[in-house]
Amino acid sequence: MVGLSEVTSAIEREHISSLLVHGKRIDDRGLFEFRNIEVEVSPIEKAEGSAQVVLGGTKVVAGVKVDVGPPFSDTPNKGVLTCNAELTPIASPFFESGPPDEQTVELARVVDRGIRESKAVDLEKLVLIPGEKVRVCFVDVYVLDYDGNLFDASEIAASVALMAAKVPEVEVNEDTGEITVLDKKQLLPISNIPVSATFAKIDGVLVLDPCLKEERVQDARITMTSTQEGNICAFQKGGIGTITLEDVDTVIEVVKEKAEPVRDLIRELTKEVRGEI
Amino acid sequence: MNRKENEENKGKRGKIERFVLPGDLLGVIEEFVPGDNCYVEDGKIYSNIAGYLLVDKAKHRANIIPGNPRQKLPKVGDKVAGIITSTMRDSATIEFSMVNEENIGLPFTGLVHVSQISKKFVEDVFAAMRRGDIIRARIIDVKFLPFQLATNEGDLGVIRAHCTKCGEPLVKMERDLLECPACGLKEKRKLAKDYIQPRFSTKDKHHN
Amino acid sequence: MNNVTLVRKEPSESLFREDGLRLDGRGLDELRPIRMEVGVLNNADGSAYVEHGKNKIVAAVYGPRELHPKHLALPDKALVRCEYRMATFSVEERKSPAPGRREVELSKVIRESLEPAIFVYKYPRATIDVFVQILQADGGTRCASITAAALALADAGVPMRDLVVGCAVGKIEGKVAVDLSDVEDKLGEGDIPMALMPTKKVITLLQSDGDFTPEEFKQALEMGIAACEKIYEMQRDILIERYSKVREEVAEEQEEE
Repeated sequence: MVGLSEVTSAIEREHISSLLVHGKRIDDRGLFEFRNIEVEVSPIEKAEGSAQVVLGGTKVVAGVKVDVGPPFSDTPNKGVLTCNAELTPIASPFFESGPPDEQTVELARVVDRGIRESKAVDLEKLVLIPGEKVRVCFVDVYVLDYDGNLFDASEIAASVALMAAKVPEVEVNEDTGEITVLDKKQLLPISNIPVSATFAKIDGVLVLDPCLKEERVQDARITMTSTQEGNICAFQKGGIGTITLEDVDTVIEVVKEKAEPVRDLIRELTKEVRGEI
Repeated sequence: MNRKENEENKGKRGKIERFVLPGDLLGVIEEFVPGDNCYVEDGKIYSNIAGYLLVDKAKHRANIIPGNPRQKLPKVGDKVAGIITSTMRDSATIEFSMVNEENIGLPFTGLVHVSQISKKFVEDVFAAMRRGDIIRARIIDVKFLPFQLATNEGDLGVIRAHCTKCGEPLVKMERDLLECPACGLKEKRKLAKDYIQPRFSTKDKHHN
Repeated sequence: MNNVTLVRKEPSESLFREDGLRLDGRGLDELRPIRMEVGVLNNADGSAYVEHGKNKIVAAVYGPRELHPKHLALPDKALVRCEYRMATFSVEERKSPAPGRREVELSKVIRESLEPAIFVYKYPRATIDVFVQILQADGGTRCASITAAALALADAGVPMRDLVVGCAVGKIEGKVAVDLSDVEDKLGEGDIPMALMPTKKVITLLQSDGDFTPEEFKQALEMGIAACEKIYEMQRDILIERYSKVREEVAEEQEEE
């Protein structure tokens, strides 16, 4: 794609920056306002847990599959959690199928960090036979429509899918190592709800939840994931621009205010499955 | 339905008969002339898209208006913007992904022939546009890829250019003349009226 | 899985209930519930979502567009490309995200079932890309994919001779039955996925595995065509529904003139 970004940055950037100077955005949102969030809980019956999230024009589906396998040798007393992302070509004319590229891997790893570091899933409770058999959770996020900010849409989808997941109970025969899958289902042990907030920096101005047009002209991107205690469990700067200490302060302040409503939404959505958290 | 669509269907008079799908029989060639989005097989006329059958009784012509108004294939008359990827003496190749101010995603390739650059005589493409320039142009033919383009109107032509020597964004001095703020080199281009003047030098762009 | 014995409950023995109906209550010529939606995505030129039984499928079409890399372009016609992919969580056991041999074959047969309907000679050197994403698989995904992809092609305004519609017919416990569910597909004696250009009455996909007598095979084809025609009516209905709003606007426009 020779110089495509240059063409858009020359034409669209003019327009977007001229609005930002006056504190306005191309879709009339406030600088620190999320787009509308719609979530469908458990649309995929064959996955143990699933969620479809529509964030403005961005649409993602996350599915959780849970298996039984050996733990990692360095964490014999913890279950295994893996996040994976697929930027499917149906989501954008610029996505191509093939092995995951940089963008895909970064997305998967940032979502993974948010869930792992917030201890959203209590991995120690996933051990069946210490050092030998643990539950293995795969979280796969499929992007179906790309209108910017895949990070936050994917983080919400992954969190809801994990919280809504029902896995078969198992019976462990400690002597033989035989694991019997029972008909009864149980919830995954969830101990936190991470919420990420992604900002674009365009000509020195920070905006929350960038849409595709904003993302295309951003100089830098900041994603901060917070725990329900308000701590920072993941942070990621992206893009070739720079960020300042003041930018970090702004992000922290905005997240304090904006992450909680999203967390409340996630709680509300999963209340039926899990009860109050 | 947007305004563009209305303009396009202007002059196609007649009554909307019904909604049709690809393969729907519209009539026989004795009845109508097959118009837009129709095909003929064994003397019968069928629709080739999902849309509305519009029969022009006066001209005995059957046209189908596309049901989905957001078809993105560029048409003759569309204004496009893109980047020049190569130039020869008699033509410039551009890749464009902006069509009528909309970003259409993956780019299409277009060719501007030297005779279509300006109303004034241009002998060599190099004197009017160069590799890396961003230009706005109008589509004049879409029969085959690449599309044929023209820049011979006031708001068409180069809208941003960089210095051939040092890569600085060039500043417009007067009509069809640019100057490099860094090295002072003067370069000629066929400029669009609204050439984007650089707001900062690339050299200090990343010092926030 | 290494060293793990997974004990699962065996599925019920017969594929028919005591009242002679199939396990999900269908007769031999009855389809599963089908739901369709057109124009479900923003970025694709055309798109469709199809639920066929528990199959959940999104199809997207881009094009005609310019081919990158350009050297693959055909001088006389558009290149049609198709990719069929299954989500990791679409099946009982998590599938690896990398495409397997099955997905490669299905991509090819789906493409070959759609291309006869597309006027490829209108767009030399261009490409028409069809992407199918299976979000949940429940038997007969390739046929439902074809139904969805044809809707997406129509939504994109790609010129076509006809729509294309897919349905499978199979044999369970010696009886020919349409539209096998996942369990019937796995435990039955055979499966014939087929696709039809409904107004032209020509077949664009025909595969089979299992064991059929020539009589059964012919009977299966007839039942399959009848099933395809039922699905085609649903395709018609959803496209009319999708565009009916636009139609009113067009009608107003004409009155003004």
